[in-house]
Amino acid sequence: MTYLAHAPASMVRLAYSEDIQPALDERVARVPETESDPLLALSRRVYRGFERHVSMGCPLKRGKECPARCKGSCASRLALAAANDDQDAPEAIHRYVRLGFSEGPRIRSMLSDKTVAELDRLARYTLSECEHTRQFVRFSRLSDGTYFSTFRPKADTIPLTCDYFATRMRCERFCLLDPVHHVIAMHEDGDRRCAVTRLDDRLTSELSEHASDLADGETYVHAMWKRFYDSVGLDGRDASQRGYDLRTSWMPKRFWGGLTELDPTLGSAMPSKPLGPSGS
Amino acid sequence: MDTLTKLGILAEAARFDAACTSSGVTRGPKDGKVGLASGAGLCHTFSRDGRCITLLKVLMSNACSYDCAYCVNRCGASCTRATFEPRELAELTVDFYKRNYIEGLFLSSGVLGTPDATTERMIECLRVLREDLRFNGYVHAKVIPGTSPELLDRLGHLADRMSANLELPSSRSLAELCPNKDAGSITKSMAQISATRQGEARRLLESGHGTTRAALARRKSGVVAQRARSCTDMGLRLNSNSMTLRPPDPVASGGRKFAPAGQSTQLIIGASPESDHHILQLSKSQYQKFDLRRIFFSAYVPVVEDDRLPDSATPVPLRREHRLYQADWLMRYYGFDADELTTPDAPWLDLDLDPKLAWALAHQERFPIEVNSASLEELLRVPGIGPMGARRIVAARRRKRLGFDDLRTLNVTLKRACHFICCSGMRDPQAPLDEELIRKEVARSARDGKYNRTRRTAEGQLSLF
Repeated sequence: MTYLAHAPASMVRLAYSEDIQPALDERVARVPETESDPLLALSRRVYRGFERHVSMGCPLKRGKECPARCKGSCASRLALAAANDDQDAPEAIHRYVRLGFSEGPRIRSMLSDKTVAELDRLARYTLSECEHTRQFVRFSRLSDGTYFSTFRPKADTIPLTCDYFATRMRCERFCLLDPVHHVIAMHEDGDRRCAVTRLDDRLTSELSEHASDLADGETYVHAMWKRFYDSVGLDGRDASQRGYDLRTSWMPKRFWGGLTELDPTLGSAMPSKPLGPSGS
Repeated sequence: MDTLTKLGILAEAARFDAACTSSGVTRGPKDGKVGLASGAGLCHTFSRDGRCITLLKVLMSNACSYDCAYCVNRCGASCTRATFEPRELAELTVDFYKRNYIEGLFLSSGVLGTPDATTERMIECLRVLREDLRFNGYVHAKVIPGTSPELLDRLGHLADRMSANLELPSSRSLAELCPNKDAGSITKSMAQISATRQGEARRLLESGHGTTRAALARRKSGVVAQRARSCTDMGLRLNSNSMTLRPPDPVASGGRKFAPAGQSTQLIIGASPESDHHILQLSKSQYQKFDLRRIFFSAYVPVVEDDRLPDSATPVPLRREHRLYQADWLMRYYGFDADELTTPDAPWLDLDLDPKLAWALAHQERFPIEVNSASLEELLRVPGIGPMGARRIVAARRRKRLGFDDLRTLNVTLKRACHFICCSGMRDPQAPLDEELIRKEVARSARDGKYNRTRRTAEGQLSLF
């Protein structure tokens, strides 16, 4: 691996192992699947070195540190691009890292460079998917008082957004499961951060089954939200009046299945509020 | 009546205030409290007509004692009436917040007896929400016209943003359509909110809170557009809310106790005869006079039969609302003045063209501009270049001279921009050079868009071109 880092960029191409389609003159070198310590240490060292290199002279830096809130700027956009499911992400990151090491802080103004633009595209998509995660996650209260949500983004956004939910719901116990990327974020009452765990297929499907164990009165809260949603729509402004579907362009249909307000099984006519706590 | 039924009635009653109001203040989490507020807001869902839903927008009650002609809740209307108990609505807000349905509460109300009685009920709801349920999320409270100053002050200490609705663009229309409301009492409330906020800002500055004096002096002396010149210094922001050219608040909202997110107002568009020129001039003066954060426009939906109102078959003036919002954006983000967008002689915005494009076509003598040397302010005047694009160009040209391919990589909308720019003295080879040809081609392309065609059919209008 260390040898490949010093080989010319044109001689190395990075790809996810499941997407590899070697050309006639290419040889495949696989990175070990296990998250071994030396490999992680190497990744961290490259990332920190890259950050130090490209952030020199950045006006937002506090001393030697890049601010934690500096989302998407020079180095942290690497992490955002890496979370993208796009099969071109590894090679785009590889080229960007090499460019950063050769250009240093100048890379910050190379916005029209193809390598930078490609990485920006990937990172921006992940940021957009993070926003969708914060927007469209829907929690349900389970019988043990835990708030639970299953969400299927097109990028590995749960590790990037779970701390937002930890600040939003600091006093609650909650789980955020992404069965597509096999990852779960778990939060305990009072914690400032979430614990993020990677899951195998069996655990993912076992945890998914918890979603149906709803607390008493939870269906009523769902029905209230659906009633609210159904009541606020205005006539005379819909897709047929606009020539395009504004709702779908803001809220892609791939999320609709997980949205409580669009759940067709929640009938408009619900029984009156059951006795017992509603969850607040 | 159970909460589900009340919610249906009171959400439906509040929906005609069509503004997509979102959060307007950033407030971090606090120990033992529920939630936070983020300045940019989060649209948690979108209604079937495409408006974003960030807040639980409901009325406290639709049992209104006023008789505004256009309102479905007016006292003469025969609709089902409902009123939330203060605690019931507060608990509902927290229930929804914890499930990630909303960012907070948007509380309005019909006039339940008197303005003061209504406001007291709203205050009790917000007190339960803030004190008993320890809600730290966002709250927007409507001011009921005629509320006494003491109650208004208490309301402002519980809410993040307050809004007194102007409702109609002139006091004459207001008197005709809303006999129980008078423009004086509405502007009096707005003036009180503005004065209280200014007083608080002064006190905070004198006591050393909020922004430092040096920073304040710097902000006052600088050209407003000089903030955040480079988008690389700001990361990959998806929205450009922080790029408004509005002078920044002298004190940070975190130190404020009274309406930290400021105040806004709302105007109904199309229920009365005022022109766009009148509305934009009014907007300009309201922004200056009351330090408003936003003016919201609600296209009038004809649901009530009344001789004083447009016929019930009148189409909803969707495009007019849209063009007014675009004009409002140009005033707040792009440094346009209201006088540049409409004049007494041409008092209506072109419904087929966005106002920036219309302005550019009417001022072709100012184009093309050279992207490699134009100022940020000049770049912001080019159709197809927005606040983010302009800042990207400024950052990228430090490194190299930009060509049209570079602009494409920077995601500049060249389809519109190409007619108004040049790169190192070169025009886009695909674009016409003749001014008249540009005007015709750009206008035709805009008018033939699906949106304009659909709306023209709905509005029964013929294109003049």
